[in-house]
Amino acid sequence: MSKISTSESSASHLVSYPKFIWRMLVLATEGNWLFYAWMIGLTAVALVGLNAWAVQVTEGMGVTNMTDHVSWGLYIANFTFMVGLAAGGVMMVIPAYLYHDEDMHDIVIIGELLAIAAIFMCIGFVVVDLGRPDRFWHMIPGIGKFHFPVSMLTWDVIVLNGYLLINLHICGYLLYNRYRGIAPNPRWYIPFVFISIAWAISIHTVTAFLYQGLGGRPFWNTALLAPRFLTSAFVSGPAFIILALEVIRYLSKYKVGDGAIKILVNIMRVTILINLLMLVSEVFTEFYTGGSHTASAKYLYFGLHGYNALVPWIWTSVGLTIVAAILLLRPKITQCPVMLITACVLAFVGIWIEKGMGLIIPGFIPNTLHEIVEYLPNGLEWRVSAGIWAAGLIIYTLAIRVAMPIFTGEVSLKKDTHV
Amino acid sequence: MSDPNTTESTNGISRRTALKGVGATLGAAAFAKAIAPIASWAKDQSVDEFLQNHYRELSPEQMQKVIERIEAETKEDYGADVTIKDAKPQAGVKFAYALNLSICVGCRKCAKACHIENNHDRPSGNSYIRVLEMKKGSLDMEHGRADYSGPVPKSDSFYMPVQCQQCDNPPCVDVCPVEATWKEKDGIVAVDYNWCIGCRYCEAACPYHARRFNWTKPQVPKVEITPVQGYLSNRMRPQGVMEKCTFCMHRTREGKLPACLEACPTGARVFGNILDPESEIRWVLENKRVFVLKEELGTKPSFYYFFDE
Amino acid sequence: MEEAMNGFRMKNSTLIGTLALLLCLGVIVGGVWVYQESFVDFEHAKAVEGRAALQSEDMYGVETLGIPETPTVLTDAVSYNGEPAEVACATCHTTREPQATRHSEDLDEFHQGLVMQHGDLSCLSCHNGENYDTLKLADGTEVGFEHTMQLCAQCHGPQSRDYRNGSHGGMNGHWDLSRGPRQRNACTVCHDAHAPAYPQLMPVFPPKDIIPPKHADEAQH
Repeated sequence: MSKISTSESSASHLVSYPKFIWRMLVLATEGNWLFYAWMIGLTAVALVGLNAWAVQVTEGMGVTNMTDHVSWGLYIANFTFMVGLAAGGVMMVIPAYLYHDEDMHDIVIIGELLAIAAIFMCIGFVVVDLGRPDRFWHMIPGIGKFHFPVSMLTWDVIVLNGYLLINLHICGYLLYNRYRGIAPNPRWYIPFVFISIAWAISIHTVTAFLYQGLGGRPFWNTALLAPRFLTSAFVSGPAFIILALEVIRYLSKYKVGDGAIKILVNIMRVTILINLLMLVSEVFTEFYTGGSHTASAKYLYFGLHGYNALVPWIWTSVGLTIVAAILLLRPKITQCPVMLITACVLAFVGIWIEKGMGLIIPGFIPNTLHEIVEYLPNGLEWRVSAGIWAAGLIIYTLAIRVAMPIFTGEVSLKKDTHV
Repeated sequence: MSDPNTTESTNGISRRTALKGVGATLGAAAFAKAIAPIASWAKDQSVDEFLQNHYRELSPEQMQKVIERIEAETKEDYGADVTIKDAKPQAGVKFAYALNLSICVGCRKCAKACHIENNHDRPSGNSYIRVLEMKKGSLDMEHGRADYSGPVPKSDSFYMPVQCQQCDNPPCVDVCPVEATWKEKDGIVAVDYNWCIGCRYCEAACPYHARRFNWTKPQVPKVEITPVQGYLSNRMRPQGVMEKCTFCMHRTREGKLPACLEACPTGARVFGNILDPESEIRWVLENKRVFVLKEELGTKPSFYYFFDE
Repeated sequence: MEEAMNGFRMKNSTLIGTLALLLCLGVIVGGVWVYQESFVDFEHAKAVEGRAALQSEDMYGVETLGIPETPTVLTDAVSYNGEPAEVACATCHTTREPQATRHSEDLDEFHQGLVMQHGDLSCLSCHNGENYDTLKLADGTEVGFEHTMQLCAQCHGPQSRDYRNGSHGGMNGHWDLSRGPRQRNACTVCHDAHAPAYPQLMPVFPPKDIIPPKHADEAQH
């Protein structure tokens, strides 16, 4: 793309930008029967979730299985995982820009779009977890009271929204210029790409700080939490992108090079092992030290005083992650899509359990007075969560649906004006 | 996913457009149906409540209006006539509490008194006080339990009621993203029930399990409602917000003893003004071996425990 | 063009490095500030000025409830107007020898079934053998029943001290005596003088939110 002139004719933005937006909207509603079936299915799930959430707002959060003992549940578990997915999304960006891997440049946007969709899901999961969503405005600086910088949650609001804006800018800018057939000016997006890399690390670090700064919750109160969050994010992010690339490769004309997938697999090979190493370190510290600070870990891995609801979850997670790590170690995995897809799915699900049910819930069990009240999400919570996942997938599908034809040149300003 | 229709006849496109229109209409209808419960909920929410400012930004006149509104809402929702006061901290008073573990018998009358005084939700049996039965020989709460039964005190146990410790360095206040909870000048950590967004971060941050969430709108029969209410303490809480022990602010700021202390049959509870050198609480702090819970967390509680020699 | 891009990248990385360092510095300074800030309320509370001298302006007193009065005994006899006759202790005791027993079983005329579980004390440790309408201190001084608490305090000094300092025995009313009175209980309201150990009682108001594990026998919690 560097061969095309970077100078732009600035006159026509007023005309071409609305045109671009309109074309994107039209493009987003077009597709084959598979696309429509997929979108209708997702919409149905999203609406079921919306309805469940409406019931929750009306009746109060007592309709969930959360209690004063386990006061955060499936929603915050998913939120935590989603932040990781958003951060992991930019794992496409690092090899592309830090190591000048030109193969990756064109598909960077797949990662950036994933980040956008994941952030939307994060915001969704936070909103459904609020007891008073109608008071969301209390958080807006100026008209509300924004407890910055003391509350880590305000940091999280800033970094998540900032990350969303940065990625919207990068994606929007690249797509708009591709559409117009003009090479993007590096000045307008390269600095943001670099910022987004640092920012991706910050979103997951700050999210880990939410938990690890709480002295009353020994299970979370460990300096290893933020690094573990990052490594697991750099497993789940690439895993999801590989899956997305395989789907795109299968369903569209877009040629996804093996180079990109190889790089992602290499990243996963390392990060999944580091993640397991950190897990071992964490488990060793807990169990070798012993004492009542180990209670949560005991409960999680082996059950405590006859309570053991999370034991199957965590061992499933550990098992899936180990199998995925072994599969990824095979040198020829990139040549075998079935094995690759299996490994990615296993890693993705393993991390989802580990960051959610395996991290958020045991932080509350036993509670700060060492009472044990167990928690498993109920149907309503599953419906709401599935609804948000569906909404996020709608956003991601539409974004990819719009971005791909533009990147392949199938849709452009030139073609649109000539038809 | 590619679209082969770019060169299709106008007829095909219009059929497709028509189908899209039908789809969009159906989608909109389904959306309206899905969101319908919210509409009925929104009807019960008042605009004044929605727009109400933070407690510390309300002028006395605004406060008067807010109180009148809430009294009217309580009448409407519960049928009870209540008086809500907004008692302010007194100059020269900082509250502290001490609890004598040697004479607490674990009867849980304090927890019950709290339940009644603070108009807690009846079905859930909520209370700000949790009484732990602890095995003698250990102060580790790992060896305690709250759901004990049978005659008390048992000879191998002692009993430790835990409630809000009104920390001088409260983690719950630090983490609140909207400043809906803060420390009053007399040491009480208060919650603005009309400002809290219900994120429950404070509940995760509190090391003493002192905070409670209104998972539903509290249900209290009309006749059981304590009619003397404080704006920051025992008035009826809305659904979806946090609440906590306020050392019975509506009583203690009027010079009265907290309800849990009055309910205590043994006198294990000592309450008073820590700034008054002649107070009982000061005598306890100066003459007993006192300790605070989880001192290592640096929360600086205003709630002390002690044993007789 | 390529060179220009590389140059741009170089400059960029320097810029990003500087920004990152500044960010770190900002975080450190911010962190220290936040840490300091978290003590402000505490300092504020300590520094409250204009404290009212509460104790010297006491307007209300402390009333002790349940102070014993000189006891009487209800008899089977009926008085001339048909009411049951109440008689003073001395009515019978003046004609009988005092018995320094520790067990009510030793008594054959009266007080049978009285539970006596108060250390090694005998009846005459507290009751005045000379005048059963009064009590006597350990040194033999005769005191009225209204001074029972003084009698208890002879042996239970620490409890008496704690009681006087507000850390033993229930109370009602006001912590702030400049704004209202307070009521205390006398010793014998909670402690039976003959069997003073505080009785075991059934706890009320059990928590509703604890669910025992499925295999309850495994629970040793």
